[in-house]
Amino acid sequence: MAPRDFQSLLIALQSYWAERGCALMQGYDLEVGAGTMNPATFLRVLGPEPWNVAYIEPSRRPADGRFGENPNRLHQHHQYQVVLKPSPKEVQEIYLGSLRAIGITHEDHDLRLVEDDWESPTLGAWGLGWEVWCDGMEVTQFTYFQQAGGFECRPVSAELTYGLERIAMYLQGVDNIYDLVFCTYPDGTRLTYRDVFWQNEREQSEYSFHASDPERLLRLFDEYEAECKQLVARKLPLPAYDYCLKCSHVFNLLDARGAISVTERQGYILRVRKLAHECARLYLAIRAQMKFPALKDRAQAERELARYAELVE
Amino acid sequence: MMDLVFEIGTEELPASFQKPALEWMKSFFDQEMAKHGLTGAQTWQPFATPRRLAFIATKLPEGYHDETQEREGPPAKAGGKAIEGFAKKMGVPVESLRENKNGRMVATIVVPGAKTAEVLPGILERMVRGIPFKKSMRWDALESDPFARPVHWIVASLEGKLLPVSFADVKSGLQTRGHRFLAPDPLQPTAKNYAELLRKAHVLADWSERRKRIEEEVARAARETKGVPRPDEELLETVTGLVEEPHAVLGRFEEEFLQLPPEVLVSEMRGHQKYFAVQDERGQLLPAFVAVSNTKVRDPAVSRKGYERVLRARLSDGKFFFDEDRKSPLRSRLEKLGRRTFMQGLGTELERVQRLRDLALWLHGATGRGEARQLSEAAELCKCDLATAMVGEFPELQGVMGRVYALHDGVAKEVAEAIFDHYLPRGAEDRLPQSDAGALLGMADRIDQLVGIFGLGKEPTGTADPFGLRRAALGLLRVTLARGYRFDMGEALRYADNLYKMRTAGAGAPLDKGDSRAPEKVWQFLLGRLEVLLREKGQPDSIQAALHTGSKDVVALEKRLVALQTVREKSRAQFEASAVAFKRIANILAQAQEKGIAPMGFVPGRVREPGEKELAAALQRSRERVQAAIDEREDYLGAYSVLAELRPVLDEFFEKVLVMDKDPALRDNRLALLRALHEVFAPLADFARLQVEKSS
Repeated sequence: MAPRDFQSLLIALQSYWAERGCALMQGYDLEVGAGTMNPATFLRVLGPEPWNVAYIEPSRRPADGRFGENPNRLHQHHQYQVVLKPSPKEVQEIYLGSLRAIGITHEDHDLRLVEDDWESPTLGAWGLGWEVWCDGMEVTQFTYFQQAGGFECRPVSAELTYGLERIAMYLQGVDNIYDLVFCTYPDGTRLTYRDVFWQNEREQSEYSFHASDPERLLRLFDEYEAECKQLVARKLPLPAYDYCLKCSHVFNLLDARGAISVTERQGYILRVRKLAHECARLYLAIRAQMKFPALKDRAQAERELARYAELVE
Repeated sequence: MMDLVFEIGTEELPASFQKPALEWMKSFFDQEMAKHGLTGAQTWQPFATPRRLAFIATKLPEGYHDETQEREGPPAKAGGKAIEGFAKKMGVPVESLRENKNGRMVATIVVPGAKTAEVLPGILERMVRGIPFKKSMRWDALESDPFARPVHWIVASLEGKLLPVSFADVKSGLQTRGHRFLAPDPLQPTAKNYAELLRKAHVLADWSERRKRIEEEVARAARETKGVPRPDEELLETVTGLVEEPHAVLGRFEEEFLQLPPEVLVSEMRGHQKYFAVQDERGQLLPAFVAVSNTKVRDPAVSRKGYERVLRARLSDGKFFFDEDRKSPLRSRLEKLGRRTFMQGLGTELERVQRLRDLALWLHGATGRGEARQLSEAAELCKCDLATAMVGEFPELQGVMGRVYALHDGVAKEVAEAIFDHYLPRGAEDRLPQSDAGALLGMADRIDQLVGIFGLGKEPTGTADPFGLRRAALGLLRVTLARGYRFDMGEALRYADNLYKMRTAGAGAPLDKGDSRAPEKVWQFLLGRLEVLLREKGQPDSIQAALHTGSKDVVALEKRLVALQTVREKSRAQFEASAVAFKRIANILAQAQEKGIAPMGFVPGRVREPGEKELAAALQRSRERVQAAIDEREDYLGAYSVLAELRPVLDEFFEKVLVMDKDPALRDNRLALLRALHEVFAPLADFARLQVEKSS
């Protein structure tokens, strides 16, 4: 049975992955462009410790804002993010089971895995995998993480990123995002996606394209970068990473505002990547110092420590 | 004789990886079998789908027969210890040794031949590890054995017996699987029934069979709307790599989208969606498409609705871009080009456009072809579509949109066509520009690109050619030759180099492209491409000799090659004799230079010997005829006949006259005579590069 409204879709995915032993976490409480940037993915895919997690990530893309006027594009959409570390042998089957749980079955739909190489220049991360197509529509990004923060991922994590609005539109048969039914009140009133998000889309688009103050944003970028660096120096990778995310978001805002030239663009990307790399390095070093406590097999932990020895001072 | 079934079962492989992997596997297999002295398979059937790379090799030999060999040991007189030791080392009894005619002991030993069943596991395991993929990955906690996508099973069956092969965490077995959804249970194939068994399990394992089925399926679906699929070999290949059992579904879109240029519609359908466009018998697009599914679904109406919905969203976007783009004229994008980098170190797109205009006008002046005003306008507009929303979304529509938008703005048709044409040819098989404007502008574009990127020191190395410079060079040469443009390419390259140095419009400092030898390097690079391009027109040494005649007029070089090859074929013996004589002259001159003998002018008064006198006179007579033939009429064949006439005198000279005379004055004068002779005929060919034998 296909979920009847937007939140039933979320609930169906949540219970499916909860039953498969994923920690259900929340979207991060800072602005991120994708669920990958949440430290529950970006940092946790590093190092040898196992990790299974699922969460809904509100993802902000300032340049994609369309003032609430485009039926398909949003400043902020929602991703359902699942990370399985290490990637289980049967991960494809488990994933296809999740589609079945939301009413997308191969008996009724053309499901295909089409090659897609994923790369995030700002995070120094890349992986190989597929776009998963349902009747020609991309419903999920399926990635085997190979590198994050410039570090090899050992073991490899499987990352599943579902585009929730698209899937919901497909399941509900609507052509306009804003017509999605979010939930139904006891009196039968339908709360729509428009009711919940339209004003936010309009205002955020206005902000991203016209109202932001580029000079202040440029100063903020420098400030956040400095804060990130000083926190790295104090060996606090998680707070430092928060400021790396801040930088990334400010960069996206500047980019949407057209305040960064093509040549400068590359420079900003490199600056963010450097911060991400530093946070990743420090995170790994500290997990190593703690002797990778989540590894049950202590002999393995010892072997792993040798691999990361040079990170630990 | 034994049959082998080998299959690597994987998660969905990228479509473009499948066929190259199979080709590599075959050549690796043959090579490895040969290394063990084993003949390869009698038949080789490759199979590839998104989930498997496989082959069946039939009638493999059981092994290589044992071979009796003799090994020579110590001399017979060496005595007991040494001989016993030798016998022991060879593993034969001492009594079996015998003495050969050199007085040494000889052992007869049996070298066992390789057994196919024993060597195959190693070969197959190395094969799985060795397949070169464009990109490989690791998965799970595995430390080694990367592959294009995770491997799930390996079938290695020789006559039904398991060959042990391990890769990553997979151990070979005898069972394969069918279609992911429709036949997931294990199946045990044999060499004879492999294809059939999989066919029943909803997998068309044979690439060409599957491809053909897709073609038929797509055509069948297109007929539902009385149309035919728009031919698209590349898409057909891709889709073949995306499905195991194809099922085509016809979908439709709203007629209003047909207002979009057909190229846009096709890009939207094939690029992201991998749908086939459908057209009528006259080639006009119909508002329909064909999608190819990997499974037969219960109700095709459901997936059809899905396919249509996705395409509709894309076409709406396309229509939005098209409408927005046409709100301001194409020319207005020039300003935006000023904010786009062409390439790091080579300035903005606007600066590039200004260079292209200057260079195109220069080519117009040098060739006397084209029309300056049109050319100048086309140059200014030719990159403007890069800053439109549509090309931002579909980079492959560059040029196409430029033409459409220019026509919409009321720009002259010739100019609009030139905007599209200047990208031609886009590949080896593509057509050439129709007009001088498109051709000259395209040449300017390629020359500018070559000089710029070579100047940055980023010329192609080995197989790496990230900027497509080989294609650019071939395009430049093909257009020049096909349209018979006469100009000095060397000058054009230097002019292009100067444009970088000057930085047009006086803004900013000159671009420091670094390498000032770029024009010469590009010329050498072009010569290399020209060799490839003219391969059909002459034997390799003729090409070498004709291309190194000092001219940088590409059309002249081709004419020289054709003349040289004609003469060689028509009057072979006679020509070879002349060529030998001229090679000799070239050698003598080169040796003299090596010895440090300074070249002197020819002094007629210093001529002594009769043979020398005659040659000087013959040179006098031929010089003007040759120069007139070459310079005025480009009659290279005529020049070759003068060369033929001269040969008896030249032979006589070499027979009777000693060039390297003891008297330096005589020697230098004879060298000068030969040099003058050499110079007269140098535009025909660099004779030193010809491979000709001294005729007896």
